[in-house]
Amino acid sequence: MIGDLFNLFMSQSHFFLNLVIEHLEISLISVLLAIIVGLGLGITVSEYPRNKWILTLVNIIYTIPSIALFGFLIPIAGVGDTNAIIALTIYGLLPMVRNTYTGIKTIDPGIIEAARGMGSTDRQILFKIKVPLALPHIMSAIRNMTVMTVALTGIASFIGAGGLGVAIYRGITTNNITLVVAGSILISILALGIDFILAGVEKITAFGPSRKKFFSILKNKKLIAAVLIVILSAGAYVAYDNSTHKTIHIASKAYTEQYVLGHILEELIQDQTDYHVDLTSGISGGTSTIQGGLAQGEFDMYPEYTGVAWMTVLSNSGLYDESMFNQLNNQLKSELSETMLTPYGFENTYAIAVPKAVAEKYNLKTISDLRAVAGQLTFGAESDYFSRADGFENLTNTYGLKFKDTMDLDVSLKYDAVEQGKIDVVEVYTTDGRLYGSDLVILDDDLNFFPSYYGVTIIREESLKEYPDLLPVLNKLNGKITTEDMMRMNYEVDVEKKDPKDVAHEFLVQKGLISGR
Amino acid sequence: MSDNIIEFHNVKKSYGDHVIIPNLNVNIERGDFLTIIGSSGCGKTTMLKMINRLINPDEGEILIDGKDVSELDVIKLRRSIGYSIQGTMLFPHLTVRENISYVPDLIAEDDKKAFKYESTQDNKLKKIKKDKELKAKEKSRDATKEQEINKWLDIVGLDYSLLERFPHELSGGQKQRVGIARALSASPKILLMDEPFGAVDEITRGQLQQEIKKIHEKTNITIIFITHDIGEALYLGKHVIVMDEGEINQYGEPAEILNNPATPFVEKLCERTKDIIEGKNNSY
Ligand SMILES: Nc1ncnc2c1ncn2[C@@H]1O[C@H](COP(=O)(O)OP(=O)(O)OP(=O)(O)O)[C@@H](O)[C@H]1O
Ligand SMILES: [Mg+2]
Repeated sequence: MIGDLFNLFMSQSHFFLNLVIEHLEISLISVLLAIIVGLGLGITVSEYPRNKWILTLVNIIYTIPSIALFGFLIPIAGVGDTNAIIALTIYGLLPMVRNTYTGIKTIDPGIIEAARGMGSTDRQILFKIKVPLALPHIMSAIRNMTVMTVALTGIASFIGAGGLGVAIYRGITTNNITLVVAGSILISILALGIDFILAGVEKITAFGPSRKKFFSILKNKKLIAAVLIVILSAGAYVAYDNSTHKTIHIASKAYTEQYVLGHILEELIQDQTDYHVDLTSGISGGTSTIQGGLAQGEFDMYPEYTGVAWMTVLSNSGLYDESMFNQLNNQLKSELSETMLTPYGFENTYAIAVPKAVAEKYNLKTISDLRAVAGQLTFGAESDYFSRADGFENLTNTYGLKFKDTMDLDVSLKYDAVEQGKIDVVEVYTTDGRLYGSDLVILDDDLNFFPSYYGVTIIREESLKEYPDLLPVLNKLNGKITTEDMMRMNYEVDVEKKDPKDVAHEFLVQKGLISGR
Repeated sequence: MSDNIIEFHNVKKSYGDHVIIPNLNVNIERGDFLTIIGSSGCGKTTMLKMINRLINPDEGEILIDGKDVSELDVIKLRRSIGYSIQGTMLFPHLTVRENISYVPDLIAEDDKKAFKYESTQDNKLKKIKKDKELKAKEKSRDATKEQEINKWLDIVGLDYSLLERFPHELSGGQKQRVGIARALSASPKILLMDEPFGAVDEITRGQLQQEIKKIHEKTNITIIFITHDIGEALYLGKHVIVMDEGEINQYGEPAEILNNPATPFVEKLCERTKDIIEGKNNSY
């Protein structure tokens, strides 16, 4: 394990370094905002008792689970870093407001009266007496809040923000434990390191001579000006960099195939056009989150499936098949100003599979063949399959199946369960990498029960107009990725633990879509 | 007629139904050392805080130099009155030096702001000149400030080596001396002291008493001094007020109080002191 970790860090040092920088950016901006806003609110609450409701409000917000808070903000702030920063800032407010308030309220009233009696204005009392005396409380809030924010930023990739959560998320969704551990370890190191630094600052700002020195440094106008200039010019550079190159924003969902497809699109566009590409992969909110991002213009395109577009994006009822492709595309255009390109070629649909031994024993070729023997077999699938519209109930009704037993299984455990003989019939998807080289046999869907799910790029019509070089390049993928290709690539990531980016690159080279380097 | 620096006219103060001060009429002479004594909760602090408007009376008026305090700028009024609060209450986050120069610093800060504001209204040439003036002024102020602080340290009997210490690094007596220096540092014409010498040993207390007496003699400041100790009240005061339940029982020179107690309350208060003076009480 430790050896794996070490190798991972060495071989992907650039990837991790970028994530660390992103992680720090997101968390430190949030922390800074929370400090400024939190201090302001804390002071307001303690100076004007009628503003006490603010304290109650931030208290309530604090009880919202962080994931939910990220989710709530999607309709307002969309997906990505902005949303994450807003959510993290809001989250950081409570410790700041509460400690500022407590810090000020626990000052001996005699001290404040002394200051008042000697002729200080309210403002002078606030800044010369109250805030400095509340500083130990405030500093400890800053310290706790910063550590908390650095940790929480790990969850921010849930809504498409960058940072080390991306590694963890990718690890979870591609069944790569080493990646999960690597991301977690880096987050812990960041959090502990920052805690250590802030502990030092806390000590310096405690009463005593060092505090005076510390504040005299802060009063040094030249130093502050220098820091501001550095920050501003860095910001200006980033803004300039973004504006001079047009940037295409690609999104992808949080499972292996989507990571690979995201990288295929990314590298193809990067190789064949002058556009910048920004890939946000592993958006766990899935279709609805990405569609929200498209509507707001945060993303230009993403890999989707025809059946999902029909059912989930457009909420149509009835089953989709490929003869309805044009109808579906027209509907996407008119309702969402989005369009589908030509499908990649592979189909990732649901299927029913049985181990070869079982198939031979009962002579099973189609799903209908199961009818006679279902009473002796156990059926396994992910728990949501049992609740989905095209799921278990409809399947068994359509084919008239009565299984001996059923079993809810996590995706990653499904294949183990088959191997161990705990289940005999299993619901799979056709490009699953773990099918590749397994001894499962897919039964023919002779009643056309499963809807059709062809992989296809969905893109905003506006983006096609804005980036005219895009369409011809994207069209190079038409029909180029077979189900076998996709299954193999998934296998390479899931089982051989290859990096999705490398797998995508090899594919593009092998198909002659980009020149190999 | 004598020259009154402070006058209370028909002053009344109550909290809810609880009348603290029913009707107070007092004249305080310029340059007086007035001590106020009375049982706990009788309204001494309330009376004192009405002078610098930390508490506003319900009725009546308080005059300083003939002007109603309620019509004066409250910040300026307070900065012109030294205030040594009950319990000393040094600012824990400031050094001895910063504590002592607290009020002069406030004044300097506001002067500077006012000056800057004025100079933004001027034309450029004038502005440059004024900026120069300001710098020079600041420089001379810094120099005098240092001297001033040392002067107050000498007066209250504190060693210069304590200047950079924080209050928690001082003894009780040292804290009280710093408290007095802080109240005096803007050279006020009135000094309000609320039990400034509580909680120190008898010897220190004696030293502090002598020092405040010297300060009074040197500066012809008007001091109003609250105490629980009748001996202290009689020793320090040029005049003494004996208060009970918000009313003045007697207002006179120490000898008068001692020899002609106006009420049984005053008599009872003085008995012990007489005992000590006449040597009857040996248990002391
Ligand atoms: N803010 C307030 N609200 C209600 N009652 C108050 C308030 N401040 C003071 N009092 C009451 O007014 C009375 C006089 O208080 P004051 O502080 O003037 O007493 P004191 O003579 O200074 O007593 P001590 O010698 O103990 O300091 C007391 O009974 C006190 O409880
Ligand atoms: Mg009192």
